[in-house]
Amino acid sequence: MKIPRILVIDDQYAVEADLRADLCDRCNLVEVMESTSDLELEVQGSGKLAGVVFCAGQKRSGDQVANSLDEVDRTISAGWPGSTGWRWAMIFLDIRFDSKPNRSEDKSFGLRILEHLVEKWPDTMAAPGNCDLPVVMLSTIPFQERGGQANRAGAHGYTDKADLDEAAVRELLEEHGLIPDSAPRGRPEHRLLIGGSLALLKVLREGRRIGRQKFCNALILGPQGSGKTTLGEYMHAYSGRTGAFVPYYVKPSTANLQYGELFGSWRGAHSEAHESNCGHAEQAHQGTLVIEEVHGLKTDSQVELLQFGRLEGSRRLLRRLGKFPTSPDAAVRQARQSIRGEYDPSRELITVNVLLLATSNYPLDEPVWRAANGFQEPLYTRLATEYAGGPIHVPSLLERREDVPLLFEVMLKRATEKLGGVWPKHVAREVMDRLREIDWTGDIAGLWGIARKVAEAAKSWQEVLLRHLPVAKHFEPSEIPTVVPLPNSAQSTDIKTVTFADALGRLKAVNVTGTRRELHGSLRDLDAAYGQLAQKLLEMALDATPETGDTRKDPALGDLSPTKAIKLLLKVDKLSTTQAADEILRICKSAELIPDNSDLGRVLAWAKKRRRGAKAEKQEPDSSPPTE
Amino acid sequence: MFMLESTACDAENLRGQLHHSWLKNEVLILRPNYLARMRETVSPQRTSFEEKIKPGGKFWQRIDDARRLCEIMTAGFSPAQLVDAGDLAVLPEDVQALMKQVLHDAYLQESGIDGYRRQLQGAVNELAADLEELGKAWFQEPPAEPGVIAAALGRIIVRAQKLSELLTRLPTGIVLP
Repeated sequence: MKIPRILVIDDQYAVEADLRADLCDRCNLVEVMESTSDLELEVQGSGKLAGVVFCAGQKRSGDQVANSLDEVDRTISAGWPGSTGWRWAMIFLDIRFDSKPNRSEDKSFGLRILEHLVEKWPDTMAAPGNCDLPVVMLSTIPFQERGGQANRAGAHGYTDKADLDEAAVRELLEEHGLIPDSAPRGRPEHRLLIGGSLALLKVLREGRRIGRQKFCNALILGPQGSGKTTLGEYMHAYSGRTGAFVPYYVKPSTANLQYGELFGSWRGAHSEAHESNCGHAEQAHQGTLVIEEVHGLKTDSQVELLQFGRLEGSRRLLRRLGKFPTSPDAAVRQARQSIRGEYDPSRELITVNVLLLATSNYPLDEPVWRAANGFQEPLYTRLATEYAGGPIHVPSLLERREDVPLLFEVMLKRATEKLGGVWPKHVAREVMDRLREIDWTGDIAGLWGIARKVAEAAKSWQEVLLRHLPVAKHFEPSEIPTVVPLPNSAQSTDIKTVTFADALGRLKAVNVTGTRRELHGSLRDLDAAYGQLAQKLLEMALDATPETGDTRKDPALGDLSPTKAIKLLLKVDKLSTTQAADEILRICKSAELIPDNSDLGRVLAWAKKRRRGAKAEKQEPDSSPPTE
Repeated sequence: MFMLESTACDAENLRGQLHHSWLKNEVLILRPNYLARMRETVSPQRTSFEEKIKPGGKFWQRIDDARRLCEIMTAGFSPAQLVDAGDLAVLPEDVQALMKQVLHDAYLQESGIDGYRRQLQGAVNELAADLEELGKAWFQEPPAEPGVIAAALGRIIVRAQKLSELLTRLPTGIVLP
């Protein structure tokens, strides 16, 4: 467990051992030196809340004592970041510094230091006047006297020395501190967000802030594999909620199925609802619900989520799909037993207490993207800004490059243990340097891939060398084109056949430049390109799922099985032919270029026919679509 | 009372140091039981604390500072000193003397500073007496029981609290009548 380090800048603590010992005893801290390594701190600080370093903020020369910003800078620089990658978790800063002979600045030298820190280490992600360093004023001067000045100077907090004890320091660390995710709080080690980069530490702080609010909504954005759901678990841990942490991954399925999975359904709500079931939102009662890839929600679910996102104190309301069954008695009993929250029969609503989190790897914070992709504006506001003040951005691996060595070591250890290889291993410096240099387009998953490969290559060796790294083309960024060649352009002749995974990787990695003129209507062009890719995938899926035996339903299809192909693409087990037809029509939205005699053309004709048939069936009651 | 807080004033510097740097930062935060336990073993923190309470140590220097404050405070917060500085310094000496007298008399009457001074002297003497008792208990051979030391420290904190409250009632700059 990594122990955080606190810096106390105070003229008296720094020179009086009895005061330092008293503070350490009161707050369960251990005094360490700037040069103390993480390992030493781990040993010395076992069972302690944090390690603490004291700095006078002054220079002494004989009997003379002068306040010194240089001294403050020197000490802060030792841990921002430290030589072994650590950072100050928090800085306690006194206000009054007594120099000898006295100077008029003594009364407020602490505030002068704070202004200097804000200037030297500004928080560029926040409004001007904020500091990257989490500085809390520590003084015996009452808050009423100096709190206003401390606020204007950029302090994160203000606390009275006399009030400081272990609980108070813990509280301040959780609220303002930059502390790594090393306190499992019931979470398994492998679910920790590993790293000590400023970008990650700030996100963890934001996560604790949301968690500590208890009743909140938050939208977590970030690249695939960056740890969005793990951050959700971290928030849940800090919320102190007694209920479960319930992740729900939005699958591309039908509107009813999606709604039922999320908000539950009463018996008979749809053809699959043989009994009443609570959805994920209800399962998370007294706990936390995280909706993964929230951008994939269908309109109906979005509308209900908007309502569910409205907080009335600690309560949220949800409506299950269908009607509460009135008979037979067993169905009524089962329906009652399935309720996790409080059911209000008059309004047919269920009240639950849930911390609501949603994640996406798409830029939901961009209005243009929301408009183009049908993500409702009010829902974005409710999830991202109404309670949390804005979305939380989990940094990509590129934004937290300094964490690569630590992450790699952890991954390598796990991968080696899984293989039964030799551990511990020494990773050569050049290997770490090489890994740090890579432009991580594949994010954490890419690093995992390399760790697994290295674990295999160096399975029996104690030293990991450059030769154990996979060949460069597997992760070398220069291999990835910065501009994806456009179809029908001169470049298109150069396009080689690539795997789907490769194509996805390239799309994600692409860096686009464009003038205002080129951007005009660009989303429509992108949609068209996406449509062509989706059609190619459909063709591949049709090839991969030939109809066998005598189950052919439409002679025009031959051995093509559109429903099987769509089921494969959507990764679902159940799908009606009408739903498959809808999906095909959606994929082949620009159908003009599809030849009638091609596989795609025949499947498209089938889909149109099927859709017309479904419309006709809809007009006749009691005709539910057949399912496979 | 109106005060010129921004004007350099020795009495205020001394008041601030005694109140903030000594009493609040070093005395009022003392934990008697913790210190009594600390007395039981030899350690740098024990030495550091003993350096403060031994005769001539830092706490005794602060007692001397407090007594000095009692001596200088009446004149130290007086507006009469303003006549010596700035534009008024060019006035004839007899006019200056008259102004000083008038201002000082008005200040004495309105601020009640002499009453504060007497109270402060009493509080400093009480604290000094208890500090002496603590020194005896702490340094005696064989050492006093931890309970005795803790009780002596408890009394110090009570006296320091009283002194601290009195210091907060003093002016924080030159008083304008």
